[in-house]
Amino acid sequence: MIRRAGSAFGRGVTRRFLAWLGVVVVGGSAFLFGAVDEGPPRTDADRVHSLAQNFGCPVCDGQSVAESDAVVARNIRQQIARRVDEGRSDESIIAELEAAFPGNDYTPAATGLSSLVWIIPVVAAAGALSGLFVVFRRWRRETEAAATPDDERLVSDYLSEAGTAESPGQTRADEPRPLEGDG
Amino acid sequence: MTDSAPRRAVWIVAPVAVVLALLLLLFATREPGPDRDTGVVAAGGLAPTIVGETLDGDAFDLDDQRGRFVVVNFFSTTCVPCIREHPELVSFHEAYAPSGFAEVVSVAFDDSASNVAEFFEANGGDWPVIARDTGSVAVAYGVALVPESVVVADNGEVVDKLIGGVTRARIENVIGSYIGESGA
Repeated sequence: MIRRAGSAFGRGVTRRFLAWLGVVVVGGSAFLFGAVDEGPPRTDADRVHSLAQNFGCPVCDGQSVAESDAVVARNIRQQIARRVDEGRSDESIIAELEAAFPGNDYTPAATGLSSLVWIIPVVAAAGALSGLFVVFRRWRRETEAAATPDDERLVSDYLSEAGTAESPGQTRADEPRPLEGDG
Repeated sequence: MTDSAPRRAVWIVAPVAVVLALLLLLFATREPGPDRDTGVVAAGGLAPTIVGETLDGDAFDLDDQRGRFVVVNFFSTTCVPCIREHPELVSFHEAYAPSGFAEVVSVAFDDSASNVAEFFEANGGDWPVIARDTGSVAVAYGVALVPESVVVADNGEVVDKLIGGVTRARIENVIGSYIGESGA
């Protein structure tokens, strides 16, 4: 059964469409807010920790400077803290460390093959949303299957037979009632 | 349902196969990363600043050493290769420091000043030694492990970074090659 929205919204606008519109507006707003809003200002300690997490320990296997207790990792952490105190930008601090210890910057570049790290999640998310759209649309088609004239005649015959078997005016509680206003 | 199942499987398997193939291609064609890169100090630029207080309480500034070659030696008193290379540094210093041709400066790496003082008292070596607040210098020179030595030319330019223990002959070769190439 398809329910139409009220006339104030126009006859062609369905409630389902409005629901989807709501989902898109809320989801889009949340995405936009998350992408644009920088949140509360970071403290110096936050910056030091974040930078240390994004720089690999030169002598460790898979550990960041933040995680490692190697001497060089401690030295780098102290250097990051000094540079933050001096008011240097994150980019310049990482550039200095990368110059001294090449190949340890964990931040993926936004160009070349490394850009796949940024692109693939977006493509995957778009694919997942498209898949959901297709599945929901298929479900909607299945639930909207209309009764054919044959179906209606079968139901009508059944109801007629059931009506004669029972006493007039009596209807079982679990028995389907005749459709009203349906032609 | 039975007809569409294989077609659906193809649609699922094909993209996964393509992605895996691309990843294999990517990994097969990439150059392996270097085990240890010598970093910025090997580029032939100016040696990073070294300013500090020596064990004797004197002020040290690498810039004051212009006009002579300097071997900046990063070491630790608990590191066996550092202990092993020390006599070589002593020998190099005794040969070239009196004439003012070269100097050695030691920078302690995660070591206490008292340990360093005892080490030099026991093993010799009469050159500037910086033992306090050396972390910043080590980072500037890209020192991850010791021993490491950086040979600095008389004009302040980095000649070479020597990873691991050094010998007098190795330092002489590095300086000799530099002089030969630059015509100094």
